[in-house]
Amino acid sequence: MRQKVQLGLAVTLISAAMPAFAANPVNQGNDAWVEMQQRVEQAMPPEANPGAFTIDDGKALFFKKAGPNNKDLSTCDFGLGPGVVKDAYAQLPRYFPDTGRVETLEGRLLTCMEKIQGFTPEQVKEKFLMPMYKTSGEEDGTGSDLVRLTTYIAAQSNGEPFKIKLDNAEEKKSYHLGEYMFFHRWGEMDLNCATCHAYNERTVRGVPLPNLLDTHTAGKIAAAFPAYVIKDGTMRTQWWRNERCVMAMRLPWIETGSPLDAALTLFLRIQATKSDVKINIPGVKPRA
Amino acid sequence: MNKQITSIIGASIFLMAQGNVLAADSALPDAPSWAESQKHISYDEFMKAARQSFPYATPEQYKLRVENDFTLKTCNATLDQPNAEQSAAIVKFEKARLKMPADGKLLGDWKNGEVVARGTTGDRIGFADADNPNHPNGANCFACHVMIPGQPGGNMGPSLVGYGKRGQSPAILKYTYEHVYDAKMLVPCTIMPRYGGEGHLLTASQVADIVAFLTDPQSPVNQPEAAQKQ
Repeated sequence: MRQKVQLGLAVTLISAAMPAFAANPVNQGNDAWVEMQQRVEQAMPPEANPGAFTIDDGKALFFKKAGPNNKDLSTCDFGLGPGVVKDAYAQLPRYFPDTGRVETLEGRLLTCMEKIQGFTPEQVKEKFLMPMYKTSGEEDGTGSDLVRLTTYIAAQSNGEPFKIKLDNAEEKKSYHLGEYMFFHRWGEMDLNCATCHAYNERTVRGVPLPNLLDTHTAGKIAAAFPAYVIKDGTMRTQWWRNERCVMAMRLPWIETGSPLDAALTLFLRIQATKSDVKINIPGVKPRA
Repeated sequence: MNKQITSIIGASIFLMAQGNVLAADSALPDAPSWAESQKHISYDEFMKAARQSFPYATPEQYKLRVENDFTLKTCNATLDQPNAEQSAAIVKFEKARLKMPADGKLLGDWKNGEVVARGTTGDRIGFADADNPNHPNGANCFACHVMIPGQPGGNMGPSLVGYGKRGQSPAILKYTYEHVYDAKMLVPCTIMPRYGGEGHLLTASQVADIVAFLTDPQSPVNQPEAAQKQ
């Protein structure tokens, strides 16, 4: 009996020490959204996801010589050394000393197009970003080379959870910038991200909204992008997801890989890092 | 026996200390917090990042639609909890913004009000097909409210089904008009957007049309579900 008490005391003391580094993998009650997402994933299992073709397309583009320097992107450094793509997405966004910026995967690809392939910033904009903001129409299913490349690199982290360390001052600053953006009310609708994404069981037009402060939900979102968006019939990246909300708030078009795009993405992926959800590209999303 | 307890406690304390070291090595930030973010980032720093991130907005659009006005600055700084003095200042600021329709009528056309309430577009910045001045802006009321019995709506605002049971007295029309035009005049820092006036989506006459959509007995807002056209 006394031994049991002692054991109990020890377990209590040890478990009191645990929460400091225990991840929070369980859904915290954001059930309506999680159930909706599960139904979508059951309706389109991985072997039926057309996004698999986009991974192949992206791979072909990655090894295709292009630009004034006639080089492919296979020497691009995504943070783990030149050409290392395995596991890179699981640790992005991150700070890159060569640009002095925190960069997303999409942003880093644009950087490599300039630095390795020799495109000018204007050419990058015209060739890779213009197709993404020529129309606000949600029906626009135009694919883009940037999405294809992003999908290929991201898929090389499949099976891994997000594991961003946030171990330098620049990334910490960017994280807090993203945190600030999440809660900052602005634009002509007086909204912030938290209005729709900081509560369980909120709906917009009858559709459940994800609570991004629920780490499991944040993990499910972060680990799904780049995702095949059924409504659009095409692949979309995390940048696109950020842009759709920014546009609904009637804020201006947010440039891919810009400081706020990177900060908001880093903020989301830190919540995802606190979960144990594993990256699963291409993910599938019904409409958003 | 006492020795045994001491050693267990000692081991536990050792584990706790080790746990803290591990936690410090791989420390992720605590749960997100509005207050915490403001300790690290100032409004001016944030706006500098915004200018780098929104390359296609004009200076006028920045001033009118991106920068915080007095009300949002106060709401953000107080985490949506303004004190009595700050609330009074917001009410005063917003009352000065309020404009009535040119013809003075707060009750417009409910059929057009339904079109405005259903509309989801307008004032999008940075797209080739955005900001078409020939296409009136919509208010997207259905995003946050259930408006019509049996039709999808949101739950971020209260259901407005049967709103018209309050009648159409001058006091009700005034309250409804003010709430749609400028909800922050009535409830400082409410999550309901301000719809009227410069830098917001709707004209005074569109707001009057929404007042009619909400209060007219013939409007689908006030008709039972069975009477709705499919």
